[in-house]
Amino acid sequence: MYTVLLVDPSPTRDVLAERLELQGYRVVSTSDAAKGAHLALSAPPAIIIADLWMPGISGIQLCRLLRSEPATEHVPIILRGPEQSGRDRFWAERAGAIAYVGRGSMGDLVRALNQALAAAPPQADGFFTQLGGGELDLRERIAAQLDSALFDSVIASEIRALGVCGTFDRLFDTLSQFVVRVAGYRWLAVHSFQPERFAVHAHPAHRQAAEIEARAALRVCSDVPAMFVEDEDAADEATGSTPLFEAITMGADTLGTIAMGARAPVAGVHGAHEADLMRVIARELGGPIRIATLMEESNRLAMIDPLTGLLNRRAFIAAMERQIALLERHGEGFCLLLLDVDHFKNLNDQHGHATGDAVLMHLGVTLPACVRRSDVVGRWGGEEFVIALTIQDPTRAAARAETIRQAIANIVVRDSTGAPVEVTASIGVAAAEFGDSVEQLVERADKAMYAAKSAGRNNVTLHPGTPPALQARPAQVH
Amino acid sequence: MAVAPKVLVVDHTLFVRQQLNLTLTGAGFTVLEASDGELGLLQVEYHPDVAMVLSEVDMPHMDGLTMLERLKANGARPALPVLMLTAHAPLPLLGRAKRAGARGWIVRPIKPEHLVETVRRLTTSTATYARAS
Repeated sequence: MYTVLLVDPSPTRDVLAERLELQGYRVVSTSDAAKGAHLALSAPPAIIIADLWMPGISGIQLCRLLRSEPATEHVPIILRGPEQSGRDRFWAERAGAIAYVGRGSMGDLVRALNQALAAAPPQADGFFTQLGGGELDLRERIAAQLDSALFDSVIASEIRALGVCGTFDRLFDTLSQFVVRVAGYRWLAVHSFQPERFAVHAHPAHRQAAEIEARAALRVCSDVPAMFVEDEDAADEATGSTPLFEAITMGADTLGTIAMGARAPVAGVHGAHEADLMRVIARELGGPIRIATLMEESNRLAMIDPLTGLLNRRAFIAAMERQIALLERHGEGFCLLLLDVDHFKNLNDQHGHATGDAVLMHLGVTLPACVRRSDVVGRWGGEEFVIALTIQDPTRAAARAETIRQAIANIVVRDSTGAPVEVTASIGVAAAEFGDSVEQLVERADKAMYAAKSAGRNNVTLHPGTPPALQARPAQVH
Repeated sequence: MAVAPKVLVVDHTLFVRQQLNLTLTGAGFTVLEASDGELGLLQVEYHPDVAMVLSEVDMPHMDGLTMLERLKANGARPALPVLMLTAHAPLPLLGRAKRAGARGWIVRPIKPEHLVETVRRLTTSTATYARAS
């Protein structure tokens, strides 16, 4: 025989109780919501029927409370309210009620009751809670629950706001600044799967240990570099409790994982707050991570010339501006190579544009292969290419240009008829000087390149600018 | 003649143990005591006829929840009812107690007659209680 707890302040309660007893239920009934909550917690019934409007504690509050309490978390609740209220129905569902039934129809109620019990027969694990302080304890619990719901929604909206960060690195930095204030931790780490990224926030004194712990917790291979945020906001503690771990999901996809190296417990039992926080963060972080990585990808695409895969003119200028700034600040000189494919117009006319494109694509592979990783290669436009070499001495840069010229001459391209196409290029070399603008530097390289063309093409010319000795040690010019 | 069911009271405060002992002995139970979780586990081991455990949660050395989890994990007395009796009831700890197999959680203060009623219910038969719910 199933026990039904009926919480209803209206005079129709007794009629309802009789009707349910006729249906074969054992009915425990009360007019008071607080008493109803106590009854439900201290001896969980098979099902609860509560009215929406009760003095003191509303049906929604009661429903939320009983949903969150371990003793009654699986006990179905049916709420009764005004017949045609979509709003009440919505909130009843949100509060976790299994059904919302209009007050007028006892038939609907009995049907909902039978259906609920048939769908989910009660689990008799018999766990119960008796609150000593009576209604006071109950009100405290309702208030605490309201606080935690508010806390959850505030955290959720903060995390969702990270969507504007634009890059993964910035997103992680902002996230850690926020989370460390809400929950003090030793370290926080996020691992995004696609593209694979890994970031750690820790105290500078424990950077290495934090990285090792975070990699172990998130199972990140050592060949994935870590992006580090280090500051004193993270706790200066060498040890703590077992890391908390959550999967970051978006719909059915798992986008990554997040882990927190929590601090050692202060007293006895602990950690529930951090675990809840991590759950909310992991639930909400998927969207912002997806947005940030998509924006990164689109920014990257905006910098790349689609035919050759090299930096486009705009991105190359930006890279050279950074190089010039380094030159002025630290005296790190560099040389610019401007390269023009010989007789490219003839080549296009003779062999077709597809062959011309094939030549450019070959250069997109050959040029980066001839230089170091720290050098920057770009497509200046048309059949012109630019390379910024981190070499201070122009004669050594010219030697590198000569290697490039030979590599180009060795490129084998065939046109649509299968006939080999000869590819050569003329290269101008100019060294960056103090006070250079990008335009001035490019202009010198351009002049050198024209000199190479005039000298019969397929060769390298160095711009006769500042003596190499001065260029090589610009710091002494000051 | 029916033997008085044995109830194990685990609490680090002597006063609390004495109070519970008086209440339960007065109601016809035999009471065993332990002053922390580890000693509680030993008492259960030494007295296989213990019918129920009534334990505080916050205790030095080994707390009540750890004792509960060890007790259920060692498998010697899977059906032994354990009741937590303490001053607070934070939800995560309640959930942990439930998952570990506690039968209930009582927040102090509790009226002696309520306690006796609950202990009686849990010591008579677990099957009776399951039917009633």
